[in-house]
Amino acid sequence: MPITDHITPADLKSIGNLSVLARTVVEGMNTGLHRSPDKGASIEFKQHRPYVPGDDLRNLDWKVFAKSDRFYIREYEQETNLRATILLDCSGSMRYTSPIDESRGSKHNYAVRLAACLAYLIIRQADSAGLVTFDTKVRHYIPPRARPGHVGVLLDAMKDATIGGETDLGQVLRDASTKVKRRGLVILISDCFADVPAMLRGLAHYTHARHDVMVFQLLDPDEVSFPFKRWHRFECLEVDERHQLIDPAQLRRAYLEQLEKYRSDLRTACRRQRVDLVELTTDTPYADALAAYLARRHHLARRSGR
Amino acid sequence: MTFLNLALVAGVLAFNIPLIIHLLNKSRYQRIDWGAMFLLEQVVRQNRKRIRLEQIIMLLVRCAIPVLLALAMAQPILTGFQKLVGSAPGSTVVMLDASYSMQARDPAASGQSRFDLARAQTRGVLDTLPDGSRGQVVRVGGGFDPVTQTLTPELDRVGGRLDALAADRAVADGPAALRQGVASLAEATTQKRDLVLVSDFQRVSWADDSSVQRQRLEELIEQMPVRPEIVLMPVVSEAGRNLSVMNVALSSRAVGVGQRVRITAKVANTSEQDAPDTPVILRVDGAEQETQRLSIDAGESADLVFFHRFDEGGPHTLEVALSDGVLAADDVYRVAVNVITSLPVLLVSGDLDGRQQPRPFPENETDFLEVALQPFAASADAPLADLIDAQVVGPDRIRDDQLDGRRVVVLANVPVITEAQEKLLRAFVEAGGALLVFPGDRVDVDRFNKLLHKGGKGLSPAKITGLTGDGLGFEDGATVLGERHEHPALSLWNDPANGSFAEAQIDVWYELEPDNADAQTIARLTTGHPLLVRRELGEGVVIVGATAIDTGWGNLPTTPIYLPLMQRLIAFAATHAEPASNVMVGRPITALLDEEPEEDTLEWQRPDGKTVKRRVVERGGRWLCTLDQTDAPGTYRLLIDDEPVRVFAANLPREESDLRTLSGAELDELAESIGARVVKDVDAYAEYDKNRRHGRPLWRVMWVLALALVFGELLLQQWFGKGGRA
Repeated sequence: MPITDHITPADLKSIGNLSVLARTVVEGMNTGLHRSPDKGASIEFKQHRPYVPGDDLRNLDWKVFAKSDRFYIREYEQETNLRATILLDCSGSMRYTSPIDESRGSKHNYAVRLAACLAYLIIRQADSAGLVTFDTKVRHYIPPRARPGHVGVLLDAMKDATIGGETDLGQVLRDASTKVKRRGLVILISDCFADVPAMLRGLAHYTHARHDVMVFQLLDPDEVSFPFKRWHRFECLEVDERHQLIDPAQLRRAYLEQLEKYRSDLRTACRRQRVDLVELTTDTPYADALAAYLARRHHLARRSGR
Repeated sequence: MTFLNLALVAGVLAFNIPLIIHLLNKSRYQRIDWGAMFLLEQVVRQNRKRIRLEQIIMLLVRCAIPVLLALAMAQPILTGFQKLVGSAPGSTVVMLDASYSMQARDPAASGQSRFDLARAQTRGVLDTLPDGSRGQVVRVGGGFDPVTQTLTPELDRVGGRLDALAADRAVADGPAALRQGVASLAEATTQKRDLVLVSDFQRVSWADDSSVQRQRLEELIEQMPVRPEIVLMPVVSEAGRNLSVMNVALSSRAVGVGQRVRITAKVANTSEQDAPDTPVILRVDGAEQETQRLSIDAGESADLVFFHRFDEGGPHTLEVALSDGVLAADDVYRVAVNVITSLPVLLVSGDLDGRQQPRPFPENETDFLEVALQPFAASADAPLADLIDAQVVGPDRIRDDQLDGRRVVVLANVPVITEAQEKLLRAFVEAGGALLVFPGDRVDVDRFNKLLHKGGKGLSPAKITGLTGDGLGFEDGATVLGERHEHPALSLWNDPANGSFAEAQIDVWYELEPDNADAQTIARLTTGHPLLVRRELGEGVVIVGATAIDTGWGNLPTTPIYLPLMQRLIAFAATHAEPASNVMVGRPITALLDEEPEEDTLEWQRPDGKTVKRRVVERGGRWLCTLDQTDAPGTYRLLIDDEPVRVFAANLPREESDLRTLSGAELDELAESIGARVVKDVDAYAEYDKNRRHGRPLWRVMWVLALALVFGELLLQQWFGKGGRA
């Protein structure tokens, strides 16, 4: 599948520009760009420093000692690859498409494109990118790879992802965590329509395994503003037979308050679990979403001193 | 309630439209696949009751809007119990209070009198009537005087006559005015019938208002084919300080030339303000004679006494006048006085029977009476003249020539008269003369009863049934009963200050049995027996006493009351036949002529100077000319060729002087009791009439209400949209 199936040229251009930023922030635009906090077992020389008692004698540079009759220690930087795993929510609620502005497409559509952009960006930086798609359970798992051809594998998997039924996000996250073993970056793209504590318990599996977790919460603008006016019959996308016939105008305010309460709970919970939460709507340009991601990664990188 | 566009009332069915829209909206919903169902379900669960309530309220409001719009377009009218169509003509009787209290001017106001205001209101009421309406204005006061005889469509003509009207009538009787007004509407042919009473609603006018009066009015209304609307239109005016000359009385009924007459004027302050130092003027024949000043507190009255002596006989007018600037009509009281030069009286003494030589004083039966009637004759240098010219004769002198020119004949202890004399005396009395009979010891009782009583058909109003007392002493005698005397000859002694009858002792008296029919006992003895009995006969009067008028049967002639009693009896008897020359406004005036005038009609001059002619009619050998109605206060004159002018005075009754009016609450209570409506002025009447004709338009209210509901619906929508629990 060509990548242009998911990413427009304009998006690619934006991503191309963004890669300038990415090169400076993300560890490993190319091999070695990922500055490793670990030193030693590596091939990239870093510096000489005078020997101090207690240093491992295996690190002495005997050639320098022969030339200068002084003890110097050779230091190397370890070269690592970022292992990013994208968890893509394919539950029924992601199928929502606005009847008001159908050009925006469904949330799933947007999620796939966003995931494609991220995968492209990550692999272009010579990092590893993997993919987990799920609905009621994990449907596909593609382990992270760094080779350029892996992008095509990921995009094909995204294309083939079918939208399923009801999500139990907490359980699914718990199941997926067994597949993501090596420490890395976990990116969840979902509308997060689930029980917040259960979802956070699922994410806790990743944070406990010292993964960096980012959550892109993806909502349609209709779900944020509830702009409907006439009588509507709201039918559940995940479970059949669940529906509500209402005059939306009468409930708009109550709905918005309920939504805000839910989002507030989610923010609080993510902050407590040190999970980055990026709230997106499907009318947000992908570039803006990626910029938000990269900016947040940059901020975190500086905070961690890496 | 009625509708101008009845067909549009069907538009209320439009209330279905919002209902249908609501149901259509609900059935033609838009289907949408929704992701955030868990949020929506929570919200619906928490707000279900509220949503249902709001939907019901909104539905009601939305249904009410087309209903109100349809009703508003149908132009509803709130009508009364009578349905009058638009400008349909009606019949209106305006009862205009023309009693003289309507002359009152409010000094603080524009200076307009109550009548000016009432006239303007009457004109305004007539102006509001639609074309084709019939109207009538009736003046109220001392009776009723319609400006036009019937209801007329020529309202302009009626209005034009209002200017000539004046408030110079006597007391307006409020309940009677309403009944008269309702009766006047009986001839109306229209569906709408109005009775408007324009008045100051003086308390005195409604003093006779009672449940009986109201029931009479209601009964009258019930008899009407169409119930008339009664409208009370009060003329609002503050009463200022008002003084009134309530009455003027002369000391003597018969006033003679050269006699000193006491004139007592009663002045009352009928207002609620004190009246200090007010001048009161006595005028005789228009010339000012004397001015006295007096101060009267609010609600009080005072008597003023003037003295005057008439130098010439004939008709004179007296006026007692003051000026208060508020109500002129009661400021003057007029009295017409016919001053007589002499009063010829024939005293027939039984003691002179068969002898023409008088006995030595006081043996003659009439000696005391003669002195009492001519007290000044005995004194050569008396300052006053005797009014009464008494001649003493024996019974045989009761002849035609002796009676000619006499006003009074006194039979004192005359034992017997002939039948011819009886006929002569009967003719004398019937022609207006007066006969006084005082029997004594000489009287033959049987003959008296037979000749003079004739079983009730004779001259005497009483039959002699016996003799009481033997003349032995006072202990067995009687005195005059000290009761309240109604007769003018005796009313003087109702005031104890003028002496008492108790001083007079009657030892012997005849027991009189008055005829039941028309005899009137004017004084009694303490034994219960009649002392004086009178009866009118023809134009004259006969008075019979029970005892003698000399000292033979008692000491009456020696008591102080004898002289005034006899003077007053004779004066009363002499002037009895004289028609009253002083009347209240509204009453007729009659002049009595001794000779037949040359013309059949005589000319009366009214106070305003206009003259009217009235026919002369004969009655009992004398001639009468009557002015049937006196409708204004003032002096009326009868003009006869070659004779002195006869003068009469008409005064307004003084009840109207009390200017206090019914309060607003009392007026409302009155209106409620008779089912009337009180309107303050012409504008209020026009509004009332308009509302009654066209009803009270409701469509404006409904438009406003519908508009308010439209805005309310928007606001509710906004408000309900904001509501709800998360």
